[in-house]
Amino acid sequence: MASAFSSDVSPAKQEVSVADFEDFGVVDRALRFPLRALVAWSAVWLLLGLLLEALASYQSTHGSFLSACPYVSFGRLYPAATNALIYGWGFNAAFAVSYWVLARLAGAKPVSALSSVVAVLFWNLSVLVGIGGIIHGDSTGIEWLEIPGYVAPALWISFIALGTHLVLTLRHRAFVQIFIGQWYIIAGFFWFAWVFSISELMLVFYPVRGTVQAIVSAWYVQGLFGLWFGSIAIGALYYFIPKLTGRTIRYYTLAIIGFWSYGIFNGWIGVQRLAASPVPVWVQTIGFAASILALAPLAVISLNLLTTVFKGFSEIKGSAALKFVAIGAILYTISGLQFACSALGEKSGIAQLTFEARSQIELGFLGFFTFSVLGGIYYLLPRAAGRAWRSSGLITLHWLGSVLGLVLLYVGTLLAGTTQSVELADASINLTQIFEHISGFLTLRTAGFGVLFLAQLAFALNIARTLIVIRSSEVSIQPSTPALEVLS
Amino acid sequence: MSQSDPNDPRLERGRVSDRGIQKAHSALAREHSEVNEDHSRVPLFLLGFTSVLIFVAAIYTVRHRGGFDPLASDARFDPRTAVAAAAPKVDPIAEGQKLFATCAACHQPTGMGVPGVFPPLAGSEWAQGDEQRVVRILLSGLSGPVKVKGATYSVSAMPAFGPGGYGWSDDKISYVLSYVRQAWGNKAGIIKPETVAAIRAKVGQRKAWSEAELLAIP
Amino acid sequence: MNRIAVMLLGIFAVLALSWTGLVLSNQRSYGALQPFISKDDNKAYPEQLPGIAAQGKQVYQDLGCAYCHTQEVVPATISADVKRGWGERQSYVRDYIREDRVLLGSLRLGPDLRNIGSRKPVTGRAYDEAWHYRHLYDPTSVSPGSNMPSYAFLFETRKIVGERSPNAVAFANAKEGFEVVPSARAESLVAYLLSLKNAYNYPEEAGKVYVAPKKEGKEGADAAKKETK
Repeated sequence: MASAFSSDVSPAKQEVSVADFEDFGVVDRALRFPLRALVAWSAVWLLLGLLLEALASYQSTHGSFLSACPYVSFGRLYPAATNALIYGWGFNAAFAVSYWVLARLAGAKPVSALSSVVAVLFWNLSVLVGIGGIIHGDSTGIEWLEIPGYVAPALWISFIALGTHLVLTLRHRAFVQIFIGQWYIIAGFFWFAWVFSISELMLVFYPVRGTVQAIVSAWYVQGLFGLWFGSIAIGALYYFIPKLTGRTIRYYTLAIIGFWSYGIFNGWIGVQRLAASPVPVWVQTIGFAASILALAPLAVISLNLLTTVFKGFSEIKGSAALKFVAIGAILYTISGLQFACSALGEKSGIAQLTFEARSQIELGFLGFFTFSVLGGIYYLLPRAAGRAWRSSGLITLHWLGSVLGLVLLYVGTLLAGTTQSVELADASINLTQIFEHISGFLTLRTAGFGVLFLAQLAFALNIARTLIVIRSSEVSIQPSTPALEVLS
Repeated sequence: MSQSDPNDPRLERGRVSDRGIQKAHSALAREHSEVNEDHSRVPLFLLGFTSVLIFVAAIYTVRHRGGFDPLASDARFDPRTAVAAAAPKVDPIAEGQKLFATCAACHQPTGMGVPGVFPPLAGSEWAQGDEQRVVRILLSGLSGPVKVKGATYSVSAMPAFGPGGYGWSDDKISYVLSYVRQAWGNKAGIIKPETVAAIRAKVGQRKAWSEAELLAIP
Repeated sequence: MNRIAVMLLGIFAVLALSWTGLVLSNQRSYGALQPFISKDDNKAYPEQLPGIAAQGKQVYQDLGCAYCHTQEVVPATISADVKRGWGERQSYVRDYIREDRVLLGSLRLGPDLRNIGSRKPVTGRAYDEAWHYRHLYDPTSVSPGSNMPSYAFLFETRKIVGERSPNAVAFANAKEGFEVVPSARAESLVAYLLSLKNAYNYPEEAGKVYVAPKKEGKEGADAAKKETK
């Protein structure tokens, strides 16, 4: 165990019993229903999303697969898959982790947690209707926002409801201080509520003219992945890394600078994806310049998270959650670097129209975000369920399968993309030849999705066995003695 | 179910409490001046790194801003070099010659016209004469008898090429007139599109001119 | 960090900054861009889609064609699009102002379709209606080695009653006594594809493209001419 930190001398201003707020205490019990619902739903969507992605990826190499039925043709299956992953898995997992982390760090019971179960149900039913709408053919045509417009108000209302619950938790907090992780989570909720509503208004309900749509869409995509999923994941990492390693954040004084610069730049780097597109030159340039500047928050946050992980590396053997969380932190750095690098080079515009751009998004979402929140879910579900995970073998299987699947997926997609970039620039290579060259890599991509799907089956099975109690003689966990209060 | 084993992955145990996290980090945030090797030092290289980033980003933005022009979408557009190349060099005589194909139907490719029917343009005092008159002819047409090179053409049906007629732009009218005034030995000056525009504005859309009206123009 | 109101204000300001600087500024600068009226033929470019083509655009969108086909011709200086014959010039901002859903696409598994209505293939017949019907019904029949899925569900195979239908798709190995007829969706989709052409070169935009630095002699003049086209 690490040595005690010497500044822990003065007692907290409010004398509260730690047992009230620690494991299986007031907060965990208050949140048990929303959390169980969220984790269960997130697992269902994760499975569905990955299955659809695997099928769509198979279709991209075997065009005749499922092509007879319009409802499962590639052009509908692919957006259904991505939207199921984003709005199904991504949001449910983000809600679960952010709810729990914010409440625990505030030391406060959330306001009316039960009604948030209603909001969760509302959200998931809306997403279900939305995915059905995409399959039916009502897609908006906007990438990463294909959910039909008729579902958007319902999504927004549930999001606001969940966010309000969360933010109100702060009002009755026991700890005066607000930790940096909490700020990332709060900011994420505010940012996404605005980004989503503005984008829906400017793209779906009152569409703007011409390629201004492309600019709004690119702004939305970065708002979704950077200002929402990225924020939540970083907030979770800032909590779980100290929690699981017992070490303080190495450069905590920098954390607030990292936070503001992260927020500022993520609004501007989205248009980097419009590098070759018919939008004004200065927009493309600003995107590039902001991507270069965004290396600063990337450096600060990576420095904080990774040095703390490596300081406490000895703890990784004994903690499955830390294994997930550490990978999440590493992939944050890698995906951020890839994004910045894709801004460089004269021919970067073409790369945006290939699998290269897609590999970066998938590494960020299925790598950085997914691994970070999976670690969080592994930590919080026993506290929400009141009993430990049923099988540690499934946890190991899940981790190994997820890592393997992600490696296959990323390598396949990235190599397909780089091959495309090089060959599209050469007019003598026609598209059929390009396809022949990349189909091997696309098969790797399909295999990656397949392995990821199987790994998540282990995850879902574990959740089901933990949440569903068959025999009442199952022993549930009692509140234990509080963990150490000191960090090193 | 093992509660005592802190390394059982089925029940993760945090190494510290939430209160501990809050307290320790807020203490860190307060210790600005504390010279503690481990925690308070802001890595200097970060400062240098950020400065380089700002420098690179600023230079890039200034060089590739494309004049902040919303109509420029070519990534490498530079307004300074492009302005010189923007105005496509149009040779009015060459353009006029192409456009003359329309006129050649009546006035013949040789510019000689058809005796008694269509007046000639080669050596014509009208074509080489005052631009105020010849532009008006093209804009609104000519009707009635007209005397060209000593011969009278009693029924003129010169159509209008301006508003109300074929709708030719100022450029096109100026090019074809410039060509006519320099072809087949004609020795008159070219006509500028601005002149045509000015006359068009003054005259507007009207019925075809008669010879008398044209001669009345100073 | 503990003053909630100040932090929330900052969080709002951070987002407002990027929205104002990127979205609002562009909406104001070209959100009301009008078509260009050509003095030569008094037509407004870009041209309005005919009604059936507008319906075809909906079909294009809901079948998700944009996931494999882009609709933007990238400048010749950073791509080979013009060399591949995907367009005579890069796509400009003004080309898209008539579209209520701009489907630029984001991945190129198939060719760019911005000018499919005016392109001429290297060999064989032009990309006419009949070609498109055959291509949609069975892509490999006109494009060997293509991985594009077949959209046969847009067509109806039915017994020939009396005379052959005038818009039946001609196949070499059609079943005896049966004909393949495009549905209304297929017809509108093909009408949309045939309407995709952006050949008109707006004079203002034509001057706002990259011009390579002048090289000495004829070679330089030629290069400059090509760039400003």
